[in-house]
Formats: sequence, structure tokens, C-alpha cells
Amino acid sequence: MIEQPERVEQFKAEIAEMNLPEQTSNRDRMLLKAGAALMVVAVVLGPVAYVTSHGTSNALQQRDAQVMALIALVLAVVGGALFLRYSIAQFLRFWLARLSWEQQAQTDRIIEAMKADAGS
Amino acid sequence: MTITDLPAPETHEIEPLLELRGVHAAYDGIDVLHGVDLVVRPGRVVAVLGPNGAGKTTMLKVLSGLHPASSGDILVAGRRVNGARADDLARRGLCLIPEGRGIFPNLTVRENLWMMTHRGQTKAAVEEQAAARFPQLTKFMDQTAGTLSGGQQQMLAMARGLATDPALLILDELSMGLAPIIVDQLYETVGQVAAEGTSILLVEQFARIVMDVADEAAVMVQGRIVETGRPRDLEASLSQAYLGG
Repeated sequence: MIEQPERVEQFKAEIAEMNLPEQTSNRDRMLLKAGAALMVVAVVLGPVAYVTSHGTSNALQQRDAQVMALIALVLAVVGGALFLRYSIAQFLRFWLARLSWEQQAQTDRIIEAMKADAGS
Repeated sequence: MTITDLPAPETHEIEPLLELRGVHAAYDGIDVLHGVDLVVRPGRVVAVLGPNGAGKTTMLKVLSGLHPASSGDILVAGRRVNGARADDLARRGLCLIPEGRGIFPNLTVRENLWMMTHRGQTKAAVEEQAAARFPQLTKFMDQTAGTLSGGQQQMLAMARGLATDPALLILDELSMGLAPIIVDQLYETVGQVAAEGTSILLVEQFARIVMDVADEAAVMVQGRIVETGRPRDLEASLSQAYLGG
């Protein structure tokens, strides 16, 4: 039973035209924040490792500080990668869509040209 | 065979006006909806029934854009509208009459009705429409809405909602705190609106009330739709849902 088909069609048209905000999943947002947090931790941990190493002549403690500095380096790289991945993901999606569209347009142009050439 | 001889399409072939697919929602990290699936087709009245705390109101908040879904799809007129603003959906014809009526108690009845001119109707047209649907309200046009009785406030809330010419009317616990005679009157109006072809999704704690109005019903328990079907066929499931047996 549809007693108001016009209203339903109008509703569908209006919903189709509605602007929707870009959706970012919770997981994406969480990983973006995790990336930023890891970089901050790395920035803090690096100088701490340096000060720890510099403040002692004990070789064992200096080696521990070196390990700490290496961990800071790894955290900085992983955090940076996560941050870049999830902060530019939206741009990359747009770039990919644009690339696909341009390739399709180029293919269409080539096909048109080939058809025109075959016809002449 | 002429086109008029063709059988009417099955309702299941008609594109739903509203569809929820595996919708999850949470408050402060605590899951309240655990994968809700629901379909409302054009011109149908669907009742979601279930005990207090089942997640019915949360589901309505999620589908009307008032609360975010943590996962799942909300489709309105075939389009995924997750993240859409509640006012955008309302402006287009998805009208929620919330639990507690949602009227402005310090404005007069007339001023409350005037708030509903956002779809282009004139103030006079909105008043006229409300008076035709609820003649009792005409006596109180210049009275502040907060001084009306519960039943009159609910009538005002319905008059406001209907003045927007909704494509989908969503009613949350219409009977809440009202005398049975008033509830019967309100559901009579719901029946009239349904007969005019407006799609309606209603949520009720008291199942008996909606049996005669609804075309389809769904039983909701602990954040899930556990059964759907014709209202009379669901009586056993309802007893189980309410009594936990």
C-alpha cells in the first residue's frame, strides 16, 4: 500500500540531494591519534635516553639507554607512518578516484579516435 | 493482458523508506544496540515493541541522527545516511516525535505550531491543519504549552509533527504517562494518518495498544530485534520478552 507516491518520491529526491559529511571510521581516528601519541613518546624518550647515557660511566646502564634510544627511534618511525597513513588517507582516496577517472577518460578518447579512424 | 490486470507488487519488492542493517550504538563505550536490523516500507506502519531498557529509544535516536551509530548502516530512501545531521533529515521529512513530547513549554500552543513552518507552510496553514486534526487544541491557542494536560501536550506534539507533512513519522512511546482513554484517542489519529498513506515507525512499551494500528511488528530485547512479523503472530514472543520466560 502506497497512498502517497508523490510524497515518497519527493522524499527520496530530497534525501538523494542531501549533503552528507565525510565519514571517518572510529578505527581510522583512533590509529591517527595513536600515531601522533607514539611520535610524542619518541620525542620525549630520545632525550631521556641521551641524558641517562651521559649521566653515568656504567657501561651496562649506558647500553640500557642505547636500547631505550633505539625503541624511541622505532616508535618515531611507526608513529610517523601511522600518522601519515591516516591523515592523508582521504586525500589519497580522492587522488586514486581522480587517477581512475582520468585513465577512463583517456581510454574513451583513444576508443573514439580509433573508431573515427576506422570509419574514415 | 493489460497493465491494469497485472498483480500488485509484493510489499517486499518495494524499496524500503528506512532500513537499519546491523546497527550498533553505545553510550560512553557501553554497547546498547547490538546489531539492529529493521525495515520500514512506504505506506506501512511498523511497531517496535519491547520492555523498558531494550534500546528502542536509542534506536530511534540513531536513525533520526540524534546519536551516532558506532557501526552498521542506516539507509533512508535507499541512501546511506550515517552521520547525517538530525535537522537535515527532519527538514526532508523524517519526523521524530520524541518521548516526553519535545514541545516548548514556555511558548503558546500557537507559537509551538509556528515553529513547524520550516517546510514552507504558512503559519495560518499550520494552525488550520492542527485545528482540523485536533479540534480540542483551538481552545488553547494562546495558552502556554507547559500548562496543558499531558494528553493535550501529546496532541500538540503530534499536530506539530504532522504539520511538517512527514514522509516518515516516528513516534516514541506515545502512550507514556497518559490515561487509556487519551491513548485510544491518539492512536485513532495515528490510524487516520496511516490510512492516508504516511509511513509510520512507532515504538511502544505497551504492546496491546498498537496491535490494531500496526501492519508489522518487531520485538526488541536487549538491543536486538529478536523477531518480526504480523503483530498478532508475535504475542508469544512478546510474553517471553516482557516476562523473560
